[in-house]
Amino acid sequence: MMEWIRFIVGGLCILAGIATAAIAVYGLFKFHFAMNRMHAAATTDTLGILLVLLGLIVIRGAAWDALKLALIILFFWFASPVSSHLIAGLEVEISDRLPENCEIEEEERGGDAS
Amino acid sequence: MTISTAYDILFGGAVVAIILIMFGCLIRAIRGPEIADRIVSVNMLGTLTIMIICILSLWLKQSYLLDVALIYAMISFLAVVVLVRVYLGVHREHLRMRGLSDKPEGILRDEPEASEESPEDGGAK
Amino acid sequence: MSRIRKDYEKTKTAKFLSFVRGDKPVVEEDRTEEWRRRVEEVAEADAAENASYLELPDTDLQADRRLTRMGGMRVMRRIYYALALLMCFLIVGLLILNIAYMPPFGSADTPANNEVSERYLEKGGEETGVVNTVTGMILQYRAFDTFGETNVLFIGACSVIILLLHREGEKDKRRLQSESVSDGGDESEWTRVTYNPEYDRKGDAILQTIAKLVVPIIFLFGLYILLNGHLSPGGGFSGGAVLGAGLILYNQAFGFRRTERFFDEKIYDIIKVGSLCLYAMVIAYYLFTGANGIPSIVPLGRLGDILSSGLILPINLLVGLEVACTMYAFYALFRKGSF
Repeated sequence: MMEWIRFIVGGLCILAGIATAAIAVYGLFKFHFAMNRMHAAATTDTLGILLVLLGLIVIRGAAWDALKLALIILFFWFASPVSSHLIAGLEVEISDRLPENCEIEEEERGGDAS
Repeated sequence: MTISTAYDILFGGAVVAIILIMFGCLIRAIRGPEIADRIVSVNMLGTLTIMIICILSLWLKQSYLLDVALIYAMISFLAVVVLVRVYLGVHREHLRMRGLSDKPEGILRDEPEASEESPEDGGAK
Repeated sequence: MSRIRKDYEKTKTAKFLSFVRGDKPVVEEDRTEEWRRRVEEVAEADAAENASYLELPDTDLQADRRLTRMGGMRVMRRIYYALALLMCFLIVGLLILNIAYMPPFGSADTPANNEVSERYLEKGGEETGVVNTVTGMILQYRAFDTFGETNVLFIGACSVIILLLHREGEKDKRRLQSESVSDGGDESEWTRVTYNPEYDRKGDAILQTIAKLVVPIIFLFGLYILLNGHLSPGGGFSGGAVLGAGLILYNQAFGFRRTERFFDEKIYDIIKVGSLCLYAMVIAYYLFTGANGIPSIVPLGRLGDILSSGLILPINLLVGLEVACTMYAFYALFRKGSF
């Protein structure tokens, strides 16, 4: 009985994660500008992988493998925002269509570096 | 239905669903009009691949696949970092060759090795 | 933040207060328009240059170009795309057809299941003392082959260095040249590959913070793969790749100047040549004892320990260092032009 409860909880988590990824792909095709697409795709990197790996941890139970899965989640939560930041910076710098698609405030772009 | 067949159905269905999602990502990576689109899609493809590897490691009961997943996560992060910074360098070099080198930089204001004042700061204040 | 301030500045209270304070109204320069105008000017200049090429007084050439303008080039490009797509599908179809002729996965009568693999699987554990038979195979039975592969890496890095070689004193000239360009000097000197200070930049603060966290983890993980090569999948090549990836990430975040504090050309030479020479010495010892390294004076140890399986652990370490150096060297050479 315990096994079946574990299976159902883990399976629901995995399915929720895959649904998150599916919504992210839908967002990739629905939006028309790279920044919006990036926002949609970044949900996979954080929420999607959290849910899928959490389901796998529930299924696996207490073991070293569960610790490794948790390490993967942790790594993603460190690395994914940084890669999003870098891609956004690239887009802001090289895109020509930026002013048509989002509101830029020159003050913020100029920064207060001095 | 025994628990092992149930697990087989769950894991198999999950892998097939993720592969279908990956095809969507691939289409966006091919079509994407800008570089950022492609990099985003490739990053997401990497994440989905890591999901598949983790599921396979439990399905096939091979725990070494988790090491592979961890390496894959590191390398895909590194790939995004290197791609973005190489494209940025190429873009800035292109601008400089066109004589537009004093165009204000975006939000990625890396410090150059030799400290030189950004021309934008002098102009605004 | 700034939007709130802007909204506030539009209200009458703010205008009144600033009038009382005696502030002058701030006129913001709109620089985006200027930039757009200048980019357009450059594009127009390029177009004019191209047009001047197009209008050469040569009748044959003119006829060709008229054809091009009428769309002959476009048609050719379309045919080319269609052919490329067809080629891709053809190759994919052939490969899938090939898979159909393969024996099923895990079947007993595949050609690969012959006496060689039987021998490795039966005697590999007790003869070499490894748990991961693949490592025992490539580093003990076929150590000579792996030595050749490591040599290939060494020669690859060497040939890239030779291709990008420059004479003594030319380096300083390049630096001077790039500096003069960055000061807005003569742009006609940009004809060949120069040392580019644009590439010598550090990452921004966010990347540096994350790199401080992540790079030690990557190095630790790479060392784990290296040292565990005879117990779990991995070994020299993959562990070395992870180490090199960590080095590249560190370089991306902190720049070349800081990386060269602990990994410059001298240390690179020492590690690369030293590990290859040590490996060659091990291979020479193997050759004297019978070419497969099984009769060895190094004790094999208990099956499954870290310090077991004779010379496989040090060979893994040496191969890993070689691979890491090669990866970083390729990156640095193509990025900077010199090491």
